[in-house]
Amino acid sequence: MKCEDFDRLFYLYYDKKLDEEKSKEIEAHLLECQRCAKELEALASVEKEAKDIKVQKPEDAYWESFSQRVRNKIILRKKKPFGSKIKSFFESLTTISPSKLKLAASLATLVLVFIIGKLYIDYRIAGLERMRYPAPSKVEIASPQVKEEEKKEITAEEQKVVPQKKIEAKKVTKPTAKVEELKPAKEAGTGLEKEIKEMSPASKEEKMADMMKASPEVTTQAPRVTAKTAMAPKETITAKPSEPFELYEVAEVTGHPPSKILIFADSTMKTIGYEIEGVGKISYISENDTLISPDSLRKIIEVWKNFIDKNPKDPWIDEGYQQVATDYLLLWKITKKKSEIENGIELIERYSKLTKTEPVKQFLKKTEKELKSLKKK
Amino acid sequence: MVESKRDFVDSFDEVKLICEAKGGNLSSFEMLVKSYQKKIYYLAYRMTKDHDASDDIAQETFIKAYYSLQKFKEGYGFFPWIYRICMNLAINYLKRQKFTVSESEAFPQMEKKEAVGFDPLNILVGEERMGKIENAIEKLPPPFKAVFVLKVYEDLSYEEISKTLNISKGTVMSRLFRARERLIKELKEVI
Repeated sequence: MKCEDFDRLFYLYYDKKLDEEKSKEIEAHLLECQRCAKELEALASVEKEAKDIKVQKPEDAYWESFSQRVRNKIILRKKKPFGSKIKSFFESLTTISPSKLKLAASLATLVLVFIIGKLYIDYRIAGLERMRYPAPSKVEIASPQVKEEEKKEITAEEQKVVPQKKIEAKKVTKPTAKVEELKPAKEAGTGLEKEIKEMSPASKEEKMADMMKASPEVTTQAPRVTAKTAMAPKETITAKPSEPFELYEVAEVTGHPPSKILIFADSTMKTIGYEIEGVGKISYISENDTLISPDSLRKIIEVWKNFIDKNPKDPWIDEGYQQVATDYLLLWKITKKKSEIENGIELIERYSKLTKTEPVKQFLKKTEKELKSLKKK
Repeated sequence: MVESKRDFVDSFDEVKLICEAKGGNLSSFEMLVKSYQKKIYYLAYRMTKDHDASDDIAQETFIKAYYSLQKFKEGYGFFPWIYRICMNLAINYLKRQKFTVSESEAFPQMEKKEAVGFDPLNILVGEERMGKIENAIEKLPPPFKAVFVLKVYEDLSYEEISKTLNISKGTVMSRLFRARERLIKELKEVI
């Protein structure tokens, strides 16, 4: 046997826990190895002397009264009122013990880790958002006065139709803008609008062509449409403004089941755009948005038509019906093509039968009527 | 009465007393206390080396036992059960003590001088050696100390220690191994 084996086994040998064979091996090793013999001797000596350590023996009186004292304490604790139990519980809370310190330290660490983790995750998410929606920009062609007038018009007419009550403004971190930040853009837009107004139709087209060159996705927008742009990547069929602009507050749809559309509104709760699941973001179109290009308008109509066909039970389908109607009205104003208006009338007629919302039905019928009268003219 | 040193199976008398105590008979419980008071006190004393602490722990052991009697199952051994309560209280006491400084730790020189002045040399050598062994045992971490005390002073088997401390036999063996190893290392100069 080697000394290493002895070191491993000699405690068991000392406690007589080894079998006969192993015990004999150890005994043989002890005869040969002085170091190991001394080690065993040391252990025996320590334990023997430990047993000899004198114990302070209490007096007989102590033993005689011991059980009585225990009994008294038991009775005392039994009678202890509930209030004092609570008091002692709170006292135990206020006294600092090592276990409590450990617990408090672990809890504090956990809370700290959680807070740091949360901050880090928020920071990362914000970073991703910035990457996803980089430096938004916009051409604001609306003058503040025009906007104010429009607001009045819309409150008078459109708000009856658009189910605004279903929109619950909910500030979301997605679009990062504040209304105050808009001011310079608005001012810039005012100048641009004047410039465009003063132009001849031919010059207008030239100006628009220039804007398109500057930003390929730019389409002209009427004042009402406060461009949505940078939020939508390739699939977006929308105006792509060239000046820095951040606006959106997102109004989430409260319909049930959750809608496939997200409606974007500005700070006054005016709808400015949509995000349609699987399609992307498109602008809100009003009948005054005459500066929009016919092709963009046709694309928007197609998007809405697809959405309506694929999601007939979507809670926000009425939004689609109205948009299609408005878009056809606008398309007529821009192109004056009879074939297109006929398709529109047919479609609006169908939609007015499908919708179950009375104000929407009325709006569709009114548009249909208007289109028919325009066609006659 | 139950006076056997390591009675891990309750006697008929003991079972009867336990049943009566469970029913709320304090006199029966007092009889049980009388049977085990010394064992419990000395066990606590071996762990704490302090009369007041041992007195507190011993009394608390019986009070706890009384209030937990309903959880106790007859036939499982009253003795190891209260041993376990006592050892847990003692271990907790020692853990708390780690955070307080004892007088001997605070003023070691003063104590030594007093001892030199009052004891003859031959007694001093023996007492010093004994004191060092006592000190070394006292320094053991509470869980190691508990196993060592039960093995050396109470002469319990590995199985009995395992039952008393509610740990596995393997843990008992490893803790005992570590405790002895530390003691020998600590006392190398003395022995």
